[in-house]
Amino acid sequence: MKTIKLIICLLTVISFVSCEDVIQVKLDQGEPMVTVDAFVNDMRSQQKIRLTYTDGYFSQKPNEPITGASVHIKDLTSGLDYAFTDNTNGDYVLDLATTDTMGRVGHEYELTIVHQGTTFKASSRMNRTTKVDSLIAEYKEGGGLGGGKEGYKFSFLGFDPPGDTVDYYWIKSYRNGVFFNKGGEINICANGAYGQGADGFPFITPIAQAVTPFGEVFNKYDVCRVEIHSIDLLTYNFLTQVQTQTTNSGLFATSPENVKTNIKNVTGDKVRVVGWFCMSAVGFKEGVAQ
Amino acid sequence: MKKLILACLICATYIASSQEKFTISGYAKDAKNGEALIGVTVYKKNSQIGTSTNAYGFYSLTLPKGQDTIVFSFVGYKTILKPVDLTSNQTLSLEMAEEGKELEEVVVSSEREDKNIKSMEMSVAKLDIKQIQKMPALLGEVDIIKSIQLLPGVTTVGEGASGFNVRGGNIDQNLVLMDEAPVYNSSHLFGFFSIFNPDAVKDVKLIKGGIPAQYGGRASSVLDIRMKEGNSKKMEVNGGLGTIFSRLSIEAPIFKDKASFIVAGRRSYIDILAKPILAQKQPSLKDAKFYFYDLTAKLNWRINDKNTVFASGYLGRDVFGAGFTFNWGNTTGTVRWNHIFNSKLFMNLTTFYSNYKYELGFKNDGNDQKFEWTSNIINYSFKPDFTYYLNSKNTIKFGAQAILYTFKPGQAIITSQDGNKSNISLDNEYGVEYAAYIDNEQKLSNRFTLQYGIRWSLFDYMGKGTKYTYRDTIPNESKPLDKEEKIASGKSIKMYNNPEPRLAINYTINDKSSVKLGYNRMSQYLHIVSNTAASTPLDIYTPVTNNIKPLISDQVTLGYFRNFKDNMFETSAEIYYKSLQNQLDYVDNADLLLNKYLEADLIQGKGRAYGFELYLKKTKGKFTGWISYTLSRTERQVRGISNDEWFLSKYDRTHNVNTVLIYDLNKRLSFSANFVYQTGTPATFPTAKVEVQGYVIPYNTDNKRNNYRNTPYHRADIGITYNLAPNNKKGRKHLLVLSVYNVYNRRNAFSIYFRNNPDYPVNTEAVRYSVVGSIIPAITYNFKF
Repeated sequence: MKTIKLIICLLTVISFVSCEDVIQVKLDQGEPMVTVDAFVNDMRSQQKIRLTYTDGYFSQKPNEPITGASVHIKDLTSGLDYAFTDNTNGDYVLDLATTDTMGRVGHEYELTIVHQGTTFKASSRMNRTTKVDSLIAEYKEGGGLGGGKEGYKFSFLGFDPPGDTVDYYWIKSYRNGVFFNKGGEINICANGAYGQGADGFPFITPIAQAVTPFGEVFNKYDVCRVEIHSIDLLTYNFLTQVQTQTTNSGLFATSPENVKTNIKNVTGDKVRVVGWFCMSAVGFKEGVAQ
Repeated sequence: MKKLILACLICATYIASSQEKFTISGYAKDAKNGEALIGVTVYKKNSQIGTSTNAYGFYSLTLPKGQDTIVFSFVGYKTILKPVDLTSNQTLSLEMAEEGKELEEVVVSSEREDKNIKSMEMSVAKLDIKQIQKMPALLGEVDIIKSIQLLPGVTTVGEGASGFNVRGGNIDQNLVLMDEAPVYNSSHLFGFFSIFNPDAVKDVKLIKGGIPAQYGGRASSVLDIRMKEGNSKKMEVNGGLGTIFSRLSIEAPIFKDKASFIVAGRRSYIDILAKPILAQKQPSLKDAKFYFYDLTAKLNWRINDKNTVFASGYLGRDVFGAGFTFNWGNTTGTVRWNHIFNSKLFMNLTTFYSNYKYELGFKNDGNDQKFEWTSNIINYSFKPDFTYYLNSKNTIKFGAQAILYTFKPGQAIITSQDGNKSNISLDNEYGVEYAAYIDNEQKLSNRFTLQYGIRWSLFDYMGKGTKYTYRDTIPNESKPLDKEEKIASGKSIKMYNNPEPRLAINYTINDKSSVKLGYNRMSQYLHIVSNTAASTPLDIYTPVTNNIKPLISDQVTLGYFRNFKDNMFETSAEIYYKSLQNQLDYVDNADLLLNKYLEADLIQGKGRAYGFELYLKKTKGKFTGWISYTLSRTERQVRGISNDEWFLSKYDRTHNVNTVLIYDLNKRLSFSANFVYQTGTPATFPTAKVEVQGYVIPYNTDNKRNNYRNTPYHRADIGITYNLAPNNKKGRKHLLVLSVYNVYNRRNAFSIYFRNNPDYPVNTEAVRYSVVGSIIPAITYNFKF
């Protein structure tokens, strides 16, 4: 539904004299909560889980890292256990041999974090993903609804494999190795489209084109990398919430709500936790703008 | 309740039979153009015995045998005194002439300008279209919905939001009737302009409380808009060139005094003006479409003294497109037949068709990929309404209605490059709403008048469709599906019925003051599904189903009405309390569009609203206008939201002050100004930030909804109307209207949202979003000939 929102925002902008001003607002500061950021995939690269405490919304610094925790992921299907190393900066990492990966499609995984006597657990199943068939770069003149700048616009071709269940994807894209990381740039889909349906179809145009986010372009010889991460319905819902809550502005803003979490405090004490655990299989491709 | 009605009816009949009486009946019309006059007071001179004309200009008055004088009185018109000799039933139709333009020269014996004191109506606001036309308007566009928002008890979430909120009710709780047909989306361009063409509107009435039994189907209010019938004396052309719209309406007799028509159209023309600029500067936008239009047409034919037929239609659309298509609009058609069985029994039979439709589509230029989505609500209805003027003390109204609903929540088709189609459409939903009512307005004494009635409504949600059954889950989670059953066409899935008692009491203290009490229960069998701050044109409506219960509201209103200085000033003070059951709310992250399991994401809760409204209106003289003040509170309680506690609803505004002033300096010039002050709308602000995958997510650790308020809203507008031809003998008019909206350039917060600074993403900031961020001047030229 992101595209629909975008259209509505655009119409509002072109049709009226709305304006936005940064203002001062006094906010209460909530009690810090443990945050678990655990998106792990099957690529041959270092895997990272990040633990932090939430901070007051207007604190103008990154959230405080949590160190000294024990972090494990267990493959419940194979019985293998992966211990993550504390980097003492909030990051917990796993280095694998370059020929190996830790994820297997169809396997169930359990994340266990122990910190100051409190145990947090979460589980995730790694679903199948699909390949990026090819990347297409097109040179576009500036202006128009595409968002001003002139340059190369990438889109990709990919096919959702048919199946009995809905496949959910998070399509991440990078320019010269830098992830497009704005909340509004989250590109997720169910099968090849929004909502249900379109099983076994190529990814629809708005999704394929969103690898070049609205208002962005690639210069000549820039590298575009597109990754299709498999996710599950709950992760899809979580990312939808992240997208909504980080871009919740304008005439058609929804009532702000708290993002959900799939991390549980199994000790049952008062330590509150937010965050997400997801195991993804990844299909990817890189292309050069020319 | 039933016993009470019966007792009153018996009593009424008894009084009626005690003396020989005759009935005088007929129509009151405007001498200038033949339009039926609504709400003309008709009474026996020097007495309390009287009635008023209905929405079709008809009245009926039963009086004892003998010689009498009947007085016809209507604000702004010369009062007519008619001597009659009642020896049999009589018909007396007449035409009333407007008061002279020189406002102070003609002193009219307008004894019944105290209608607000004597009538049963409370919590009712009537807007005179001529007055609306003088008020300053956004971009100079005269707007009925915007004018209504200046009345006490009416709020909106902000500029650009469609619809309006009456006494704590959501926007879907207003029954908006255009010539008796319901309108589902009353806005052009989201909420900036309303769809009603002011050149075609005759009468506007908003009923907020003490709603009579003849109305039903919505929980909070009735906005009854009557269109002009068309000049039956001579051809008349009205029009205007505005900043946004150009307007034209033509009305003329077909057979003089027998049949007439009106056709009125409007179209926005920013797109036409912008086209050459776009073609030059933004070639990719040269095919962009953005315009809106509406067309209103009405035909009436007075077949004979006893039969009149009206046919009216409305067609309006907003069209946007630029690589995509997005358009929406209402279509309504009404055919009505007025029949007078005898001097005491009047019938209006209405049949209408109403269709609200929107379409959204994307198409890839390079290949044949596309996505097309349409959604509709279609109504067909049959509605006989009767008024039986039993005697001078009792007026009985009764009638029935059946509405057939077809909801098409989404017809959606995805086409791939290779031409494969995937249909992700949702099932249509069907329902029939039945209602029957009876209501009596009874004068118990010169001081006491009682109006009591009951409406009984039934909704049958039926096939063809799918019945979904869900299991319970923790509150605020999407409910898991238990089973799906296919239901055959016409077979009932779920039925609801509700008796809706209505009561109004008027105690007239003296000629200048009265106390009124009203109670009404209303039930509503459809809900708008919208979780956004302002409702979008894409919002769907859902009928009540086996999972969604009807909305029920109960409202008690108590008011004191008093006029001063020979009815020059009207004042009222009202308090109300309203309770609402089964208001719709949404689980977190609800998926409301194209979701066949939508019902799983809906939750229902309680609501309550209470308040105090003060109103002072000056009705006569060079200087007219009103001041209103509302103190109110609107809250909700929904399991699973805001820790199950009561929270403020999104349109709660503690204080609401509206001032409208109009000053007619002379024949050429009139000035107008309005000022609005409203407490800021409630808002949910974060108390923490969460970092996941590099995204900084606002989070409310107390889990409370609407824990803050946006800054107060206030705004002043001014308008000047200059009459270029004040002395035109043929009634021609050339008016220049200059308006300035948001005079002191206030940037009112529609919402405040939180984001990362685009340049320094580690920094978070609060951003005030103002829909109108500048002074907006506009000039409009209006003509009539």
